[in-house]
Amino acid sequence: MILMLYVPLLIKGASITLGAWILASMLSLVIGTFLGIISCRELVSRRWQVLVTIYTFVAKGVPAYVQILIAYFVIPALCGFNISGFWAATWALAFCSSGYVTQIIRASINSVSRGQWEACQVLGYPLRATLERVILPQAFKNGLPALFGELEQLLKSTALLATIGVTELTRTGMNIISRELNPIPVYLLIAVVYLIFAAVLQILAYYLEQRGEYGQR
Amino acid sequence: MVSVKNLSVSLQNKLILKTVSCDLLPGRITTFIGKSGAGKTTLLRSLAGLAPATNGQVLIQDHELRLLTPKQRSEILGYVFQDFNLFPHLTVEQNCLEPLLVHDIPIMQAKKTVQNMLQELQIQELINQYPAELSGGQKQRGAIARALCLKPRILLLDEPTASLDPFNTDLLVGILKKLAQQGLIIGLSSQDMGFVHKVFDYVYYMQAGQIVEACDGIDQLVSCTHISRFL
Repeated sequence: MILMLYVPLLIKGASITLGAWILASMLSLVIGTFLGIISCRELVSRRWQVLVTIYTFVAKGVPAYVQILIAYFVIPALCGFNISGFWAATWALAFCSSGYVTQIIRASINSVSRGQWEACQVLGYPLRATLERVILPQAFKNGLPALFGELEQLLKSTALLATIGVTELTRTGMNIISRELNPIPVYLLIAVVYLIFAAVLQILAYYLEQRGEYGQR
Repeated sequence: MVSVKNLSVSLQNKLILKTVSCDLLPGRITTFIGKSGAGKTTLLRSLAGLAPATNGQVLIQDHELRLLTPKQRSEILGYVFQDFNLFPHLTVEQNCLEPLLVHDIPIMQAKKTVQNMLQELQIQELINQYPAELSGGQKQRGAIARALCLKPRILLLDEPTASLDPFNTDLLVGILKKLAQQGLIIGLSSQDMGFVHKVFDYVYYMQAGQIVEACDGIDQLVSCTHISRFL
């Protein structure tokens, strides 16, 4: 019953969680797809390979929590600008996730047979059409389970926004607990909300996987 | 006419084709035969621009192959892979339609071209099927249709009967002869003796990356020792 009083606050917290997750996912997918494409077997040059390897090493090697702290405290101090906790954490999560997405996309593109590239070549496809119409649709299908796994991981990582004072879902729950001193229903409710988000994501993944069967069932 | 002059191709620092010269003529089926590793596929791949020449030249209708853009080349030359390489996420119709759209052909005109081609190759009932739902013979006709939709004057087929049963092989022979009668230049590689007998028109025998014998018509076969022994 006490929780009913805090529903508007929890909804606001959930919407911040959702907003950070959607923005970080989009940034991560865009960066990861671009880096995955330029580092795939068919297109990679030595220089790009080195740069992408360094990028993924840093993005994956530093814990997301530390990346958020660097994005919020260190980079603004060094570069002399201000950034909100929300945007600092969103960029940090996107950076961290894009390291994994890059590797997923690269592996997915590499899993498309070389014959598909050659078929595009003999049919006179320019590179952009080759990627857009032939290679990426197949690569995304191959990488779908891993990609959605990463997006799910990213959703859970948004709880780290709480550490720099962003009142997303977990932080909202902690604030309610400090006022009501009743952690059990609050933490359980928060867990249920995360599970609902994850369930929506899994249903979407299932739907897209089914759509990508192309008569192979 | 396709004229190959002193063509050499190296792959991973290994010389695969050694100064090969040959002609592929309109209205004729030119077959390259020989044992595995003789260089048949490399020759066809080089003609299609998939294996760059290290020496020599390929003249297609008096244009040098290496000077053509991939788009220009695809409008002159169609290529059917041994394993077809149809796009698995597209239906048969989309497989044929997409290249036309990439070549900026208006969609209505492209759809009509595809329908006519699928009808000609007797696969119009497969229009909405995905490659995974097709048999080997159907896949091959789909791949031929895709290659022919761009209206090339040359059609190359790599080991076209490798995954075909006798019925589909006969069907393919009929299709190739019909296309040759329409004036198309057809070049293919094969190790299938029965098939080569059926399409016997102009045959080159390859060995260790070189053409060692040519036979112009089955009535000349007795004087071609390598080819008659191979067949």
